[in-house]
Amino acid sequence: MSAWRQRGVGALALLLLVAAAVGGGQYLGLAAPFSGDAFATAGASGPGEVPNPYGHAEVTYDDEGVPHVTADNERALYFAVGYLQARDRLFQMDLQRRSMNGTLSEVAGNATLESDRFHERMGFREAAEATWRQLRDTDHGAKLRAFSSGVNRYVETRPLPLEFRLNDYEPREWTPVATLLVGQQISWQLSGGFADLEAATVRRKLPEATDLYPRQLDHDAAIIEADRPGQSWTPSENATSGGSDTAAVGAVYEGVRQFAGAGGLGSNNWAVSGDHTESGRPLLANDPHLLLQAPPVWYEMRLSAPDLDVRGVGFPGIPFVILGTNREVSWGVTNVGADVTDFYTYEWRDGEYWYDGQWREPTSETRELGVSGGENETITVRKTVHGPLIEREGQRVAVAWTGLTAQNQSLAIDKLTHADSLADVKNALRDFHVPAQNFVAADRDGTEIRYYPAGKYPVRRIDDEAVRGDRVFNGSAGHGEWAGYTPFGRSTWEGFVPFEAIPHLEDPAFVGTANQRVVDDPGFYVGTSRNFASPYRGARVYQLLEEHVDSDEPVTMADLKDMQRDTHSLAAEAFTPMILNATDEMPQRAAALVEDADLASWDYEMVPDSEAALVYRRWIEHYRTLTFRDEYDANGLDEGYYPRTWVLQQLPADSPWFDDERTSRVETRDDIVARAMNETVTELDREGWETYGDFHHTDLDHPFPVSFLDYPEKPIGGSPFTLSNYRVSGGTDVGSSWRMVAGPDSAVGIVPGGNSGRYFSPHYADQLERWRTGQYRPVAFEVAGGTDIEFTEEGN
Amino acid sequence: MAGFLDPVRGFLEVVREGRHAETAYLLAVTVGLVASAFHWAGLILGGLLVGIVAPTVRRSVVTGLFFGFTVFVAFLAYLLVVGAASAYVAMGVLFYLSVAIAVLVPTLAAVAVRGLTATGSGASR
Repeated sequence: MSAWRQRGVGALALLLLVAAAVGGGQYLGLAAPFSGDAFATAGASGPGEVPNPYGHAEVTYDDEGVPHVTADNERALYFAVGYLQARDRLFQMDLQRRSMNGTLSEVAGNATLESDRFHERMGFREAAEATWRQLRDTDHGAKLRAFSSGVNRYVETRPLPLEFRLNDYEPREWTPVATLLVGQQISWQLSGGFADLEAATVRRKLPEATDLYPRQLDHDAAIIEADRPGQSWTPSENATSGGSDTAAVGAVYEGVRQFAGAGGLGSNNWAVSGDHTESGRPLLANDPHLLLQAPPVWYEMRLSAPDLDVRGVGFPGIPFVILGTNREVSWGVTNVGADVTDFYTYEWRDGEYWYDGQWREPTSETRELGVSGGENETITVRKTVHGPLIEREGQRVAVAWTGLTAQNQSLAIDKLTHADSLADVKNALRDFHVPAQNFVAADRDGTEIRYYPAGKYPVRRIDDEAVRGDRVFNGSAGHGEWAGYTPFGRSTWEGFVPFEAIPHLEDPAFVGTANQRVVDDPGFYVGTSRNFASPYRGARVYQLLEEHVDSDEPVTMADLKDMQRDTHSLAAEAFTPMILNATDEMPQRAAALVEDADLASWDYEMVPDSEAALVYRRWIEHYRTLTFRDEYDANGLDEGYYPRTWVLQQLPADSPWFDDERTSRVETRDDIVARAMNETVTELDREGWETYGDFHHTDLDHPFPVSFLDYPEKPIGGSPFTLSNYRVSGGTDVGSSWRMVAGPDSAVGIVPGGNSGRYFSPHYADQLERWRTGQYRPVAFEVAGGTDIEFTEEGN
Repeated sequence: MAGFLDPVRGFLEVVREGRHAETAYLLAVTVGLVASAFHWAGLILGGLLVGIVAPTVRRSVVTGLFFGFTVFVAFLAYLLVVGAASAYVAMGVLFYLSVAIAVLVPTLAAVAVRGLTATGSGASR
């Protein structure tokens, strides 16, 4: 090779190198071995010593990646917690804040613009700011401030998590308002919604379906039933009167329904008094059914300071343990599902609405939404006296939600972690406003348990008469207003049910909640059948609790674990006989499937290796669709409007809903059962599913669309109606997001994934398989090993 | 001019083919490896160093590839030690991209510097 030719080769190589460095510099910066941003957190345990402006704290991570934090005072403690949560979950925290803040599009582009418009118009940030104004000068506010400082200390001094580097952006400064926004998000998911708009839409488009949405589902599995030991409730409030509406709000509902709190969310908790347990002291179990994703929605911590020693889980972005146990009491929650959102329509004239004897102009502000890779968008945010105004296709509705005013639940949780007794628990819950939650608590050293569905329940009035809230109100006439409610300001209890008047139980033998209605007659309007779950899980909880308590054997922690793992479906038990009774109506191949799957001797266990569970589960989806689709589709109502499964079960065999309007003959239940089974056969053949696990598997994905961050998919048992809960809701997976069983001397728990959100951490997904297979691990106050991070008082 | 460059040429001949050639090569790999741990430009630096001590252009291809492979193996070993190797391999496109960067960048740098410094005497090799 001549020298010139070699120089030519060298020049070509140089050219390619320069091109790679200039054109692909970002990729070199991202993926170069050792120095690539993508690997910045691999093995980066960080400094062993961190300055803390509030005092001394020490952190030891246990074998599950759970930080045990001990501090000289609570501000020092929560500074450390902020640092640790940022270390382990910063991207998740930032994403939640952005979602509620209406700033997702700044990093995600046009795809999230509709979400940002909705969240900006609803004013969640302004409500969080109102809450902060109420808290900022309190000791609690100081803890939130310390937490924010800890988050920011991490952001300023340590490498950002992988997700930020992949998406090439940096988080803004963390603030107490950001923490309160994270709380807003879970509150909205659990109690925000548009059920009244949905109901009004159905009443208008398909009035004959009104009976499918009764005020109460016809069952006797409420949380409080007088025939259970120690359970009775005498309402002290005045009952509410009825009423309905046919307001034209369908366009508004169609525009916002995707942002409603997830209807599929639910939870289980139960507790048994010490009178019935092996140890003579109470036992408690809780498994909230929330979004299942990578990393999990919960972050587990053990927090210790003078007068505080608590262990459990909280939401990343919020410093406190929300569910768990301290040395004296343990507690868990499920969602009440109370209707705490109302809607108001008005008489309009030239852009003004009529209210309180005069025409008023809505307040109006313009806001700019940042859009990554696109042009920023300017929107107008308008509000009436009742709250934010949602407008679509000429329809206008104002929204009132108990979460759109200053709240105290962050303070309530803070107090709860300090509770030394069940009386302290009760006092703490007086401050718990939104979302209304079924709190179950146990005295670890005593024998008693408690049940409080804590929250603020608005009382709606028309002409001084208390009325139900399942309607769209005439805002111009001042109907249905909540006295004392000030959107984006401070509200009082004036127009809400007094805390003592909320149904509750003190020292029952046992109690179980699974999102069923609280009690048949609470004395005030809590919600309608749309707000509460079908009673299958609730009935199963009580069936098992009563079996245990009525047996000669005292109840143990193992019994409560078995209950959480229970895959027996009372829904399947109710529907399967309908299938077996209709085999004569089925085509030969459908009847053969019923025979092959052995539905006749099925034990109704929704387990992965069951063919019967697969056939039933797919069949009931087709059965529901074939029952309602003809009428609903024809009236522009999709499957999201279909009634509760319990309602479907209760339909008589000759119900007109079984008649297919598209045929000349009159179908009955057996005909639809048979057709549904025929469609099931076709589907199973097409998909190649043989057992339940082929269809029913975990699909826990990371919000950032990079597949390696997702958890692996595996078959899993359970269903929407079993205590071992797993369901697909609106394209997302929902299920037991934290399982905990707490006794007097020990507790166990498990999360679906791992405690760390750091992809390279050994604790990114180390609990996933144990969670899937129903295993537990200790939730202990003790920890072995030395200090991993020491927070030293700044200046020392 | 030629006289001015003579010491450089002399030095290059020593480190390329003299008795210190192996030492020079090992030093180049070490310096490049250390630099790569801090910035991706270290891959280029390492490539330049192993390229400049390569006796021929063809040889610079080999030394560049070898250096890149050494960086990759060292990185993998580090991830094994910190328990992140399997997560790294599972990163799909990012994993392949990092391998490509490790191997190609130093090789291009090595060939570029060796080719551009080729002289008549070394041309026939």
